[in-house]
Amino acid sequence: MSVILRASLCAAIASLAVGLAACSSAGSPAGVADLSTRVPQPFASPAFRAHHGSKERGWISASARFRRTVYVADDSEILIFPQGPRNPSPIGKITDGVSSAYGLCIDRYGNLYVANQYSNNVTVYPVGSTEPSKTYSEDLERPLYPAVDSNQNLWVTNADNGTVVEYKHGSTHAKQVLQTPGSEADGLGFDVQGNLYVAYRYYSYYSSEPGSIEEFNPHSGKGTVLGMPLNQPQGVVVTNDGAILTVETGGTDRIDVFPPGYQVPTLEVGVKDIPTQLAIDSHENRLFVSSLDYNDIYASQYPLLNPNGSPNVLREKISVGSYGIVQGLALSDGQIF
Amino acid sequence: MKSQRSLIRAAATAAIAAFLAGCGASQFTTLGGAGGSAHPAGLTIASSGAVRGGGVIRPDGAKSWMLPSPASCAYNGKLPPCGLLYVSNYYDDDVLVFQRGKLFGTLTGFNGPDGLCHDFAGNVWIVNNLGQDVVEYAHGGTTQIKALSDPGEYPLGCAVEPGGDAVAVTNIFTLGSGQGSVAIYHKDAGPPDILTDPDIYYVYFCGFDNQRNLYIDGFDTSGDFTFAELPRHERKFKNIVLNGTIYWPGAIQWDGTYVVVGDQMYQDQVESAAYQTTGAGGEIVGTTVFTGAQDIVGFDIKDTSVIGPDANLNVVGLYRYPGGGKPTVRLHHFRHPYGVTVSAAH
Repeated sequence: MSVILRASLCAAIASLAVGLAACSSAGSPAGVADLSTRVPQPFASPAFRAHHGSKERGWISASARFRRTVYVADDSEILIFPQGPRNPSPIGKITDGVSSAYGLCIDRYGNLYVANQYSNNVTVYPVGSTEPSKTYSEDLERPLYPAVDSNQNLWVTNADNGTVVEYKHGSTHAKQVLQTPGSEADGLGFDVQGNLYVAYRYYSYYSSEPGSIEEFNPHSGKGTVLGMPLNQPQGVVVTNDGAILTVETGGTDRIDVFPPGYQVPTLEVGVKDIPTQLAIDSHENRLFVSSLDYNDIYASQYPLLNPNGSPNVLREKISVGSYGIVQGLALSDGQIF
Repeated sequence: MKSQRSLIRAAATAAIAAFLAGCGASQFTTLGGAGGSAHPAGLTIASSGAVRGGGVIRPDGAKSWMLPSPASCAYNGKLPPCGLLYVSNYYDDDVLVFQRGKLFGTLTGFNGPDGLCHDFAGNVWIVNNLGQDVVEYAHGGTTQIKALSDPGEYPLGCAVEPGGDAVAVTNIFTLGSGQGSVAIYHKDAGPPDILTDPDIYYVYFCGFDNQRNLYIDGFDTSGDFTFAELPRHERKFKNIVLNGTIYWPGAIQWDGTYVVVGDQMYQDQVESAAYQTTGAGGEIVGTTVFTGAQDIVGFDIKDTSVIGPDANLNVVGLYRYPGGGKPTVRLHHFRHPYGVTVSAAH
């Protein structure tokens, strides 16, 4: 606790965020884990957790077409929630082709991409559809995060070999495979110039080497390791001004903000256990993060530090606990590359 | 634990306030007398209590109807003790002006008004935190007389060089969350000098001493409070290590003897204070505690009074200076007042 309470902006914001996140979770005083018992170790992304219960057919409410929505990966289903009041009920569910779902993304046409990590594929759902229109599987080895670039090419990170696979628009054959230094590739995002940023990590029990982020020129495939040390990173968002937002897990459990050129975060915001995917709306006013262990979606105004100098706070927006296990999320009004 | 709970409460308040921003009109029902009453200027006070409609508060400089007011005054239990009190009302995008405890007028049309400062003549500068500019009004005037553009930045605080022509504006960070800076504007217009301190990433507030040295505070990239001086005529900041801990940067003021630095989280609690320091000497020689306040941000020292806007309680309090203690007078029903300045005509 004293670590969290140290007099620093990072700690203050972290404690605010963590504490508030706990407001809806009775039985977890202050919502702060005892960090002394948690020794961060290199570890692979959390494994699939079985969802018990029969598989139901998907459905999407007609109202989903007219609302800003949050798509949430819930292992064997994708739940669609309206953005708005806290803890809304789903207004849609996609089950066909969904299995051990992890990261999600939505392209400029509203197509939803689902990385099914243990099915080794990515399924695509046109807007409003509960049935996949396309499936990508070539060179996928436990796919975690998908992203679609400005040319509608699909990029997918692999957890089992640290690679990123590109599929040219219209083709389900891999165009190129980029290797990160890590043994697991995690979140990814693009900057406004189209450069690709991929978080990676090592998960050998014999190595404590931290992960980082590699920036790729998507055309040449040439990569540059940016060098910020990251503890078991997950999601990545690159904002219009080039700031990199990423998630650290493994007990660190926070969102880091790296302005362009920085290898140390200028802001650290704590998130309740095991944050996974980040998503920001296209206007960059609101930031969302999924929390795997508590099956929650948190959101905050962005920037995380208000321009008036006061901290913004992550607040629970959707509690998915009664539905299943949260792994990733995407916004209907999210970033378009 | 108490600290954390308090922090959470403070942040929750801010977050809720932020959430509610923009929901309906302001409710200044206790300000400026009963709704619909005639204002001294002959303007109608709306039921909200705020003067609207852009009427000219001061018809002309020669025949001001303003109540006469000395330029300086000891603590007298009045708010403001003399002159005009300007209060930035962040979430209502306006600046309220008070004289002798009464609402005097409302300046409207801002975008996140934040820090306020004034020059010797009583002209007031208003920092538009979300509008990327800083605007100047004559003492008691309702017409903007100058605007300083601050593109790509989130300006937060300001200070006018005593006896000089410079206006310093702190930019907490850039629109792209990049490092904050200080913009130094000069009367002759032209682009400002943009100065950065490599050890201060988030630049909060600034203030001049009587020797025209500029002081700034903020956070470094580790989130630790940082304080620095920009000596007169120099362009490089000198960091100052204080012999005490400040937890959240507050306003910087010159009280005639000391450089006063605020702490929005006095002793890591939801309380606020201001420290009298020797400036570049780094020594804290006194403390003014704003008892009962939760988040005093851009306070202003006026002789033996200090006026503190409380962004959590949404009040503006009058305190004795340097004694501090509980406020003796409070104005209520603001929506996140971040800055105040007491302007007196000379």
